[in-house]
Amino acid sequence: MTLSADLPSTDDLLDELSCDPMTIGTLIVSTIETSPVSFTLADARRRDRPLIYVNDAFCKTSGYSRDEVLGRNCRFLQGPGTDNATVDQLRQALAEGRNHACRLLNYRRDGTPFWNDLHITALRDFDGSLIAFAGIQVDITEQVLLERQQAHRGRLEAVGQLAAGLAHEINNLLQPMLALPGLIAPALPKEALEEQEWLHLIEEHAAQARGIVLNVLSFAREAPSPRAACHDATAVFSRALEFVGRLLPTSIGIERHGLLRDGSPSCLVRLDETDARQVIANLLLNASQAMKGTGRIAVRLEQTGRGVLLTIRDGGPGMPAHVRQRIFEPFFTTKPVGEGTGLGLAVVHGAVRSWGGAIEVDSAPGEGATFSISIPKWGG
Amino acid sequence: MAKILVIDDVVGVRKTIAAILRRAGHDVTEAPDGENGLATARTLQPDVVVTDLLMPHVDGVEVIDRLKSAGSKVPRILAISGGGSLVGAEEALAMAQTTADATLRKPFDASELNEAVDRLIGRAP
Repeated sequence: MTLSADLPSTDDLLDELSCDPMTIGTLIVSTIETSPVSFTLADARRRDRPLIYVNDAFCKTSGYSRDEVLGRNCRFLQGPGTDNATVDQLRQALAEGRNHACRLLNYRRDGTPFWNDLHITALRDFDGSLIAFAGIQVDITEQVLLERQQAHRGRLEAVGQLAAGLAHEINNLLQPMLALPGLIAPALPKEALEEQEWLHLIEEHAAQARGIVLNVLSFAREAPSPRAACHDATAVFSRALEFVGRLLPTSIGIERHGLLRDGSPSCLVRLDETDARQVIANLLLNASQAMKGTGRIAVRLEQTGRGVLLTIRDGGPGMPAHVRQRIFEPFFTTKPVGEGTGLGLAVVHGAVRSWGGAIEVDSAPGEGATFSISIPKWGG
Repeated sequence: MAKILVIDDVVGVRKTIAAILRRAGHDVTEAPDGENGLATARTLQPDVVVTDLLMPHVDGVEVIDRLKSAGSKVPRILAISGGGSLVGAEEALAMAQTTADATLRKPFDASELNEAVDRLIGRAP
């Protein structure tokens, strides 16, 4: 048996190590067995290409024992999130006896997904007939998540820059619309009631546009607010909760957990208290709307090594991945036209970032949503 | 009534500010940029200067510095800004915080502008 790729011949290797083929074989097998990289061997001559060997690393990564997988086709690793097109390409390559490499979302025995960087090599006999497929599999879940996070951050930054540039231009354009109707109105004849109303409409819409521009700018804001000051995190978020609690329907219950429950001080954070109030208001009002005005919202504050972690969990319908990924982008909204500008969470994102913090959301359909805000301690 | 110089490179904004202040009874002169504004201020000797902060060439921050160090009659200064593509309004206004007598964020309505100017005149010597 030989590998189909251009590798040093077995004879050269034997000369180099001056040992017999049996010893070489044992060395290679024990290397593969102890390798931290998953290695599999599937029989290409039998129907459905069953696994005939898996190493220790494969068992560790996948959570399956050897007995559970030998004799089965490798597809037991696939699950609901595995991309069908990628699987089709892989199947095609195997059917044609070709080498193949791909990234596949696989599932461990306990159901947790992981990203598998899969390299398959077709192994052929001396006469060129296909005998097996060797698979090398690396768990690249962390790398994929990091790449996605960076892409997401890049996208938000680009959107933020665009929004800021646009907002500043619009500020100047709004100036006459906001200020001149007040001067024109007194010059109109008293009986021109309709015209007065039209002027008022222009003024009103300009004022609304000013509000939107301000919100877009606070999303794009990188620098801390000039009104930022040092506050005890427990105190500032307790006050914000108290304020926002009054805005929510009485059918919504707010549960305070962690430091918010006993009110004991945590650590100093540097932020603008108005921002903190706006962040809490946005998240709680969203949660309340998601739960159709009835249910409980759990708010927890805990001390971490770097500062504090604030989590807000609702029992609403949750959201699918495509919504979750875009939820902090300005003008992204799932609410019906006219019910939301899609700026609330963008403003929250901008405010948290100006505190030096980060916000994340964890949610799935039917499982509610949990927003986690980490804020570094002052001087930390 | 006060003698007021309005400096802003955006025509629509400048004319709006001038219109509001004229209606409020002030004597208003307009300048389209910082350099022009400084030259006008020398001959006009205004009581109040309303200046934008982010302008090409001579920006508002420099206009304020030069007006304040001009010697004879130093006008009261209202700095205005809506921010630019690189600097936000809050940051721009913060730059003028110590040198200008008052700041106002664009866009503002007529009463916000009139109140700011009235306060400056009221406090003027």
